[in-house]
Amino acid sequence: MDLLVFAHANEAQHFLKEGGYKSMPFHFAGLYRNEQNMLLLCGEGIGVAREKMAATLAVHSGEISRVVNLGVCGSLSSQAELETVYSIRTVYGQDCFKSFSSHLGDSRWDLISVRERVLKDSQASELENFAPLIDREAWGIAAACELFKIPFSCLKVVSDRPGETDGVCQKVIEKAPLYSKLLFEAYAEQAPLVINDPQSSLTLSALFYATTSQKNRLKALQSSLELKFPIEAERLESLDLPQLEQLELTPKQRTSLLIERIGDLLNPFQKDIRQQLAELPKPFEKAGFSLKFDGQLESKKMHLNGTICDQRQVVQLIAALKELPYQKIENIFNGKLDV
Amino acid sequence: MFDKIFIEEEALNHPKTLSFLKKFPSVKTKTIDSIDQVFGKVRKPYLQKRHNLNAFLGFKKGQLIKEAPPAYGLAGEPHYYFIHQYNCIYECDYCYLQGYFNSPDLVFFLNHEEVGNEIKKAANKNPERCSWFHAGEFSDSLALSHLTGELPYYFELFKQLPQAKLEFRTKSANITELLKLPPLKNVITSFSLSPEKRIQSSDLKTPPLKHRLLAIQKLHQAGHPIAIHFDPIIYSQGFEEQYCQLIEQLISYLPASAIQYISVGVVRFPKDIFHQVKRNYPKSDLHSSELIKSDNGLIRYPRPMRRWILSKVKELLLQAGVAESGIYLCMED
Repeated sequence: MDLLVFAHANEAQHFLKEGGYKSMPFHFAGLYRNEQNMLLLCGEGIGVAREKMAATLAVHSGEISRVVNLGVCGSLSSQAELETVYSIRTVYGQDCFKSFSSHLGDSRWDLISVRERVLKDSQASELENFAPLIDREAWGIAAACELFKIPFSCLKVVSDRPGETDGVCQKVIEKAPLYSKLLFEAYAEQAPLVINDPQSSLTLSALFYATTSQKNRLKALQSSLELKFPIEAERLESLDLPQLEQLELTPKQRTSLLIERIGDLLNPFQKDIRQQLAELPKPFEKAGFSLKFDGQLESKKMHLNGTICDQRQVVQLIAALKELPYQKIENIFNGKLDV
Repeated sequence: MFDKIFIEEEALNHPKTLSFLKKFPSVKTKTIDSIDQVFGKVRKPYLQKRHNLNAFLGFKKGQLIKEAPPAYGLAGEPHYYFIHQYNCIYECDYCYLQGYFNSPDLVFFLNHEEVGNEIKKAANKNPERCSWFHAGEFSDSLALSHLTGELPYYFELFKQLPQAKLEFRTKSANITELLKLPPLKNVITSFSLSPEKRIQSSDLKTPPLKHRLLAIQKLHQAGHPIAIHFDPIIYSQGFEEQYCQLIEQLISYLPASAIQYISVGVVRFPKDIFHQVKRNYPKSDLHSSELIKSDNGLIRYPRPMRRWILSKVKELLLQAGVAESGIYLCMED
C-alpha cells in the first residue's frame, strides 16, 4: 500500500473526506488508514517530518510499498505556475549535500526543502540556484524512505512565491480545499508502482535449499544472468535445473552447484583459467598437501599447506614440486593463454 | 542546450564570457560570487544532464596543472594534465565523471593565460626533456571547442614551447576549430576509439565510429599529428574480431605509420564509481561481464584476462603495421 504524507491536515482534507480514512492508534496523533492506503500528517519542518516518518516506517514498513509526499510548495521560478501540481524529480535540502530522487522518472521539476520560511528575495535567489520549487518537509520524508529502502515520490501544488509576506499564510489556508482537491486528482492519475522482482523468474524446487548467504549470492548473480541472457527460456536452458535435480546431492550442495554454474556462465574466461589451474594441485594432494591459487586470480603467489608425517610424504612432496610447471603458471597469470 | 548559465562576478566582462553568451542569447544567466558556491554544493543526479544542464563560467583557482599519474602516457617523460573544463556532454556508461564532481553541470574556466604560465614554468623546468601536457582529463577537449574558443591560445603557446608536447583527448568529431589552425608537430590530437558495437552500447551520445574516423582522416590530411586511445577496452564475445575490424578500419583512414602513438587500456573502476555505474546504467552489459573487485579496491578484470586482452590488441596492432615503439599498454599492476 502507499503511505501518503502531508505536513498539515488542511492539505490532506480532500483525501480524508473522500477516502474514508480512520485514525490509527500510534505513538503520536496523525496516522490514518483506509483499505488501500495509510496517511500520515508529519508536521512542518524537515526535522519533525523525518522523525515521524522514521517512526511510522519502523513499525509499518512491511506494509508500505511506496511513500508519496503531497502538499503545497512555493515557486522560486516564474516558470512554475500557481495552483498547478508538479511531480517532483529530485529533492534537495538546504545546506544538505545529499539529494533524493523520485522513483518516477518522468518529471523535470526539482524541489529544495528549507529549514525556515523564506522571506527575503536574496534567500530565494540563492535557493533558486538549486531548484525552482521550495517546501519545508520533502527532504526529511525522502531521507527516511532511503533509510528503509522504500520508493519515494512527491506531488506538490504551487501556493505562493517566496518573498510575498502580506497574509500569505491566510491565503494558503483559504485556498487549502482547492489545493487538496488538485493533489487528490493528481495522485489519482499517478501511475501505480511497478515492482520488478529480479527473483521472480527463477523458481527453485524443494530439492534446493539456500542459506542466507547463498540467497544473497543467488540474487546478485541472477540479475547479472538476466542481463546476459535476457530471454527466460534461454536462461533456464543454460542452467539445466532438471539435470541438477537428478544429482545425488543435499539440497544445500545442489544450490552451491547452481551458484557455481551461474558463475561459470557469467565468467567463461575465468572458468577457463580455473580449469587450466585445476590439475596442478593434484600431485600435492597425493602427498597430503593442498596447493591453492589466489581466488581473485590477481596474484601468482601460491599457498602450499600441509603437515609432514612420514618420509613417504617428503618424497611425494619433492616429486610434486619438481613437476610443478611454474612457467605455465606464470604464463597463465601473464595472460599468455589459449582461450 | 543549457538551462541556466552561472557566471562568476569577476568573469562577467571577460571577452570569452561575452562571446559564449552571444551563442546563447535566450538562456537565463545568473551572477554568482564563485563557482564553488553552487557547483557541487548539493549532489545533482548525473542523469539529469539529459534534461537540465547548467553551465558555469569562471576562473580556475588553486593548482592549474597537475602531475599525471603513472601509466598516463609514454613512459620516461614527465606528464602533466591541465584542467580548463569540468564534465562532458557525452554519456559513456563507464565514465568516472559520473561519480567525480557530484554534478553533471559543465564548468568552463576562462583563465587560460594563467594555465599557460604554469605550463611554461613546468616545461622550462626540464628544457632538455620533453614534457607532456594533456587536456581532457575532466572533459572532452574538442567537443565544445567551438563554444569555448581556447584552441588558438594553446597552439600559440606550444609554438613557443617546441620542447614540450600538448595532447587534446577527444571522442568527438568536432574538428572545425582545429582545422582553422596551422598544424604543429608538438600538438597532438588523440581520439578514443572502440568498436562500433561498443560505441553504440556504451559511448552514449558520442559520434559514431565512422564520424570519428573521418575526422581523423581530415586532420591527418591537414597535417595535424594524430594519436589513438583504445581505452577502455570492454571485453565481450567476439572481442578479437571486433578489434581486428576496428584496427582495419582505422588503418584505412590513417596509415599505421602516421599514428604518433596508441595507448591500450582495459576498463577499470574505483569502487564508488562502479556503484554509480550500477545506479545510472543498471542494464549495461558491464554488470554481467567478468569484472571482479581486486584487493586494491579497483573493479576490473582478473589479471590473466587483463594481460591477455592487452597482448591480443598489441598483437593485432603489430600485425597491422603499427610500430611497437608507438604502442603503450596501460598496466596498473
